[in-house]
Amino acid sequence: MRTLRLALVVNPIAGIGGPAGLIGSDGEEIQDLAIARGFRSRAQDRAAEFLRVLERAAPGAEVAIVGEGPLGFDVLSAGGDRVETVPRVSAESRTSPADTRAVVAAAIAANVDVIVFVGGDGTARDILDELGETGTVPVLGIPSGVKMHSAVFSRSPATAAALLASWEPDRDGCLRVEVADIDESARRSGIVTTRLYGTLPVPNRPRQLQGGKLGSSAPGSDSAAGLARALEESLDPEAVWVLGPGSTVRHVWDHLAEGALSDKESHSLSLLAVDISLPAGDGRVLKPGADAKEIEEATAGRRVQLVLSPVGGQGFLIGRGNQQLRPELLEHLGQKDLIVLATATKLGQLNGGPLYIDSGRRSVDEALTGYIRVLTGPGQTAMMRLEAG
Amino acid sequence: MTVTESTDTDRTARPKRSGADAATAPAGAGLPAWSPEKTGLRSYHAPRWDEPLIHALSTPGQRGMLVPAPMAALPDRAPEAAVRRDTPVELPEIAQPQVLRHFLRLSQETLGADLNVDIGQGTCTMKYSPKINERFAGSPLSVGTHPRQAAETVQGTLQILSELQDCLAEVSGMDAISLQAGSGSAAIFGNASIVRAYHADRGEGDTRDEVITTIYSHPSNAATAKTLGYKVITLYPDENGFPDLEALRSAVSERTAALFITNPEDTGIFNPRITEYVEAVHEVGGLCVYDQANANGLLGIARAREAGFDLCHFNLHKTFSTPHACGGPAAGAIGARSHLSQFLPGPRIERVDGMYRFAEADPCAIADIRPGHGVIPNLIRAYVWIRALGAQGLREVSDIAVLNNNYALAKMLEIPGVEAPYAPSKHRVEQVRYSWQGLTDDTGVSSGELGQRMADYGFHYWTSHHPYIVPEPLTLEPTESYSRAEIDEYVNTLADIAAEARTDPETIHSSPLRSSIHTVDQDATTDPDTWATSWRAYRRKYLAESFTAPPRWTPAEDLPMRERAPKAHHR
Repeated sequence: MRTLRLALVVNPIAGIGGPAGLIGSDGEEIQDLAIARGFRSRAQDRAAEFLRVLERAAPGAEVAIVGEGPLGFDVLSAGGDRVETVPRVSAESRTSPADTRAVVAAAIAANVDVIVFVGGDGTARDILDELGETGTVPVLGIPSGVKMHSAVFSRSPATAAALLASWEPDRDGCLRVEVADIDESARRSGIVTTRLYGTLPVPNRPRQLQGGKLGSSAPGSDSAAGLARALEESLDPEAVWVLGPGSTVRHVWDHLAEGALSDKESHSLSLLAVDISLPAGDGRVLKPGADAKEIEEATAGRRVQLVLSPVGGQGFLIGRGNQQLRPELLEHLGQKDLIVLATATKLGQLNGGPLYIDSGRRSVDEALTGYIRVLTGPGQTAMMRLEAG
Repeated sequence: MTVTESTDTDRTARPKRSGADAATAPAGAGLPAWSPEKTGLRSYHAPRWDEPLIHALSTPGQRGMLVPAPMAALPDRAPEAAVRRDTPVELPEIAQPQVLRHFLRLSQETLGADLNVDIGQGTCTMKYSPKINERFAGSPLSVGTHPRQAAETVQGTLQILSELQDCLAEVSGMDAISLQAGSGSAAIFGNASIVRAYHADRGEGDTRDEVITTIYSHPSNAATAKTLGYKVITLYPDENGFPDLEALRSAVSERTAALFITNPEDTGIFNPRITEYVEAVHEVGGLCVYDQANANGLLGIARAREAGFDLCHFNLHKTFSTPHACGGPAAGAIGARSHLSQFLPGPRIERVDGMYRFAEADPCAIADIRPGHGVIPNLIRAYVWIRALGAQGLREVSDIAVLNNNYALAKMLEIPGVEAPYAPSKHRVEQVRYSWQGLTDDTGVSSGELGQRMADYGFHYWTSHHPYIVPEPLTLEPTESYSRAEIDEYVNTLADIAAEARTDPETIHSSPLRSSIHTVDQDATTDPDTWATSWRAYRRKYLAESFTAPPRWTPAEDLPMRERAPKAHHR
């Protein structure tokens, strides 16, 4: 097998809005807000983890092209003498899409085997803009955005490294997959619209890719009512309930609120943020749209129940769209504290799983993996494997 | 007549030739001219009648027969008096020939198993029901008897039931058979009831409250267990298409009442590790129930006993050829190992001193699944079918069914856009669940729409149970009843439609175009408010007539109401 030459570009602000509970990271105001709240992007850590695993799994692979400074060079542990560094284009304190595009242009010119980027849907769009709809250089994303709808991503940094270790470009070839993104400002107002921007070639290894997110399919009112009954039986009234994003949890909660919770709580959940419900006196109070620190403070020293539903079509339970659930929280939890909801149809679309966790800390992921019971209705569960992404 | 060689390109080319033009055969073959391999698609159009409901055909004073007058001297306390109506029934008044024409027209608008090459209703084993068996089932010696008739006067019928029990015991390896259930799901319900009775008998009825099943097993397994109050745990397939064995091992516990499982499942892949599943459940004290509703690939090849199962059931209208009869009555046979035989429902036949009689039901037997014994006409049909074939014949049935299926599989996989998920390049048992995902991605035409288009050629087509696990599914089961030419015709038609999806998807979206009806509103078919299963309901719902509501049972206020399962659209 010949040496695999790759280009690496990191979007150093990717996903910064995630733990801050800001739903996405597009736009400078949002980024400033997240920084002001004391959060930082995980992109550098994710890039470093990718390189660490790649070195072990594919010693022959080499980074031929890298972005300057925080755009990739900073995470290279050693070597660097054979690497072509692409200078930054942006002059300001903050990096820009033009930086990503400059690395991609250099990668095309150098005819690398694959462009690896660390970022989210926005970064994928920047690459598509430079490469064009007819570009043939394969691309592989290391998921570092908030909730990725595009199909160009591996499931985790480690999976990306494993994928490249077993992928031979001449033998295996590529797939063309979709680049999609949502309108984040509309999303913050509760309107979720996904737009297809084009397609990019990715290594032909579909099992190690996370796949595109399927459109939301809120459970029908019958199944939402059934799931609400099942959830009610599982909830501990004394516990802090951490309620994940997505239409399944939201609709089931609405049914629960109509019935059992009617006198205690009337708030609807936010569609895309993590909310917390705390015991308070005889009833409960809901704190909508909590960021990671708020969640960790509210749950410290108390019984916690996480109510989650996997991302449709991708199967991610933790690490997509809910980066507010940081390893700092998860390390105190066990499988018994997870309440997972899904309709049978949603599980069907996942072909029976597995479900994935990609919290950002491998030890936390591994502590929660194994077989879990997913509630699919009153008195019915599905046994699903939860794996590290 | 000249010989024309037609190629694949010809077959998929449009516009199609008419059936008559293309009716060719090798010169001098001396065979009927028609060959589906050579002639492409059928020129077909379903009859379409604007036939009204039979009540609308009623003409006052018409009648089909003269009914004898009631006995004048009927005693007041006769049972008939208690149920006699004060007002006449509003039956349509219509003569025999009009009745005949009415129902014949309606039947022409359907695609029955006797009319179409019915390999498209996978899992249901749509095989030929030999017509001669109707003569036995309809014999006055059977239909002229009464369920309560003394055993010594129906020895022939009892002999048939007894020997059918023996045959099914041999086929399954089980120790005892009950023939009472009137359908497959009723038999599964019987099995779930036996599971409950068994654990209750051992004092574990309260602790063992979980039943495990698989997503590719028939939904009735989960449904009957839930009906009996069990919590149901569903296993999903692993990457090979088998129920995830490790998931099962994680699921079993002292709360496990039973595993309900099919093998092969709807994918048609035989699970070679089935005994490991059984052992995992037995280790925790649970029972193992084998759903053999469809055992058509296993006759004389594999038995429930050797796989270690405690209970099993057969649908006699699938494997054993009795008609499906538009939703029944059917027949389900339950098989039990000796440690469970005392729980079997209904009368079983035993032979004492050369005479057949109904055995006394054991005190711990579960409640009757239906009144009396089973559906005798179907039990006779199944018995005759088994006896006509014999042991070797049964084995041959499965051999041919498996061969036909794998022939169809090989032909299907030549069609671009279809695949058979799991077990690549392996043979399947009696059926295959295919996926049209590739074609759907390329053309936007769904599997359900391909089925609509198949109706334009006189074929039935079914996708899969819900939820769809295999995307854009199609389930084919050719059984042993169809000739190679018929399988070719079905698959060639499907290939042509798949090609049409690439060139003219709009035609498929708007199909069926030559069937007795066009598309139906899916939401309406799953909404009970639109259903009218009686003339009265039709008048109430569609003609806005009002009726005084008959007295109805009302639940006690504190009765917990069950959640309804979500609606699912078939296709």
